Amino acid sequence: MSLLLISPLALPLGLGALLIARPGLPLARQRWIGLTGSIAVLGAALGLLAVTADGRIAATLIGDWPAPYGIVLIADRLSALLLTLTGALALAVSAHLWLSPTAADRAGRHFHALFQLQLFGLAGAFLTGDLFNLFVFFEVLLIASYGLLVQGGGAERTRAALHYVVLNMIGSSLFLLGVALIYATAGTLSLAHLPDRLQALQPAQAPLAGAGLLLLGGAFALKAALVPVHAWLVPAYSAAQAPVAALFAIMTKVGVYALLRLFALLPAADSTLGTLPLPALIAIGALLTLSVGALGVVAAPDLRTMTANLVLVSVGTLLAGIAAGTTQGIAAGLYYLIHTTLVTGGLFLLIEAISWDRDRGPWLRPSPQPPAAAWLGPLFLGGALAIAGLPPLSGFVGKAWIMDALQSAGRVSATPHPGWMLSWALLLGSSLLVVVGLSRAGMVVFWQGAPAAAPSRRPPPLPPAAALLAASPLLVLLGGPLAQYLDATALQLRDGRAYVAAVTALEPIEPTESAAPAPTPDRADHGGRQ
Amino acid sequence: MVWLFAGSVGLLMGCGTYLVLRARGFSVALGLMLLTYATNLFVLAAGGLEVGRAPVAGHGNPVERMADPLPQALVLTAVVIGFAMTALVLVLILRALSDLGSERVDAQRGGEEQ
Repeated sequence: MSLLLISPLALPLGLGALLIARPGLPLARQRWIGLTGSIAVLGAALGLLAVTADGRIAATLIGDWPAPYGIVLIADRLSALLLTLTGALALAVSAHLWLSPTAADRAGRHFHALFQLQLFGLAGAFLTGDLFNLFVFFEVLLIASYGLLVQGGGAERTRAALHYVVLNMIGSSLFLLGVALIYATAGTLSLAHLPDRLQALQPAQAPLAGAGLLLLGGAFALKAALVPVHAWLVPAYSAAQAPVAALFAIMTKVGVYALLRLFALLPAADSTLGTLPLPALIAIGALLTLSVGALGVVAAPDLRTMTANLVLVSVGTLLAGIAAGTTQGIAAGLYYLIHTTLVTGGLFLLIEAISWDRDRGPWLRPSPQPPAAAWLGPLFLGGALAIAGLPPLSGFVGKAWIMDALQSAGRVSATPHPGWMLSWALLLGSSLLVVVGLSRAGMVVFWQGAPAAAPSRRPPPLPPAAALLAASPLLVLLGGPLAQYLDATALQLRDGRAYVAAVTALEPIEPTESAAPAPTPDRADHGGRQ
Repeated sequence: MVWLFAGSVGLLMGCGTYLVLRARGFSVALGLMLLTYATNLFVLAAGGLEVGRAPVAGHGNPVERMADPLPQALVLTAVVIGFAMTALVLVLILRALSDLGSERVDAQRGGEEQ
């Protein structure tokens, strides 16, 4: 079990180090190595998915240092799910690079090394069991993403990268300040030990710990690109090369994952900390984000900016579900997260293929149709239906589930979710705007202008983009089992006792099979009553 | 001493924020450095501010007279990461200076077809 936990970290790190040490390797071999790394992460993630499917939690100690001092890697259903998503997306992007005649990885010498390090950072962020290592892995994936973003050069990319780096450095400072406040008051940074400690804080320390938790919420909101700290996303994603932007589709989800873990730490209302307004603040931010993103989709002058704004809309939508705080809301948000990560990744790749040989590139101005419009058109239509949330594709299922969750959260809970009707209005209104924006884009690109001449050079490959978009009907077909799995995931996250038991059961030197439920600390189910 | 320490951290943080908001390449880099320093000092203080504690137990220092080692380890990591990030920002600012022809971080030039 520990091998499964360590390999998604060790393999990309090792392959990345190899690629840095041998920068002169032929591109074909670098691409093979990149593909190997992606397959390794996906394989290990599927293994973890199988191990954790029955509710068990896999945990291991790096170097066998005992739990409060050592580094804990831990995978519950949520971690395994997001790691699988990362692996699937990385595999599609690697396959895209592998099949491309003239691809993004020609521009810089270290593209594949940075790609592997990005995978290392992503896997680490999903598997780590304490707040400080979460910070470290955030920095790893950010440093790699800075490098990937500027691949290819150009003034637009440099400006976007500069803003991205400066904003994220400020975000990292906030993260670290929050971590320091929490350590100073609670005395631990382990995600398993924190809930108990935060529940039983001295009254004098409670305000400081609350400030720390809110600072962490701010830092994670920046990573997830919530309004008002969303401004870095659209320039960065629209400036990045298509495969990079497709891989970045998972990056905002790291912020969402961190927010989910943070929500699980919040103590119950009867503790000295009281009720923190964090979920409510995130819910308001989410609604603003999806409104701003939808306006951006309509206003976008080119296809890449439009897709970047679609990322904003989807982050807002899924966080609106998650911030409702109920099991149903979290499950619905996770369903939408899977859907949107794969579909926006596919759209970024598809848009590269559309603008490849088009006279006006990605710009939404009349021009002859792109070559191979007979293939590109239906794929764009499918992607647009999925991301706008129209039946019969997965966006519709996800949105309907989120809206249902918002309504029942507003009806049932003692402290009603502020205005589920307003949420419904904004969700439906933003969907309408997205439909308008995507229809306009499709009409300009595919219906205006004469049929194109034969392509002058070999176009980018379509199968990886098509595979990512095909995930949408698949998510609908597998809706039943997936919904059960996500419900169980949300329950496990809100309960939290198994997570604590898995860490306390970890004894150094002993084999990990002893991770059977050990004496559970006597502990109220704080997560269930936030 | 607590007030002195807290005042210094606050001053560093304030100066850093001011410099970052000036939105010129060099000021932003300096501001980010000050913010990083302030954050690192803050993390160090998270273990409690006490004078005369041994950094390492043993060698005649009982465990009770030992400083909290965890914030020190955290700060060490954060210093290394902050150092790398500062180097990266400086490179990017130099690159932006040559690509955009201006020191302002929001300079507009090139890249956009109209």
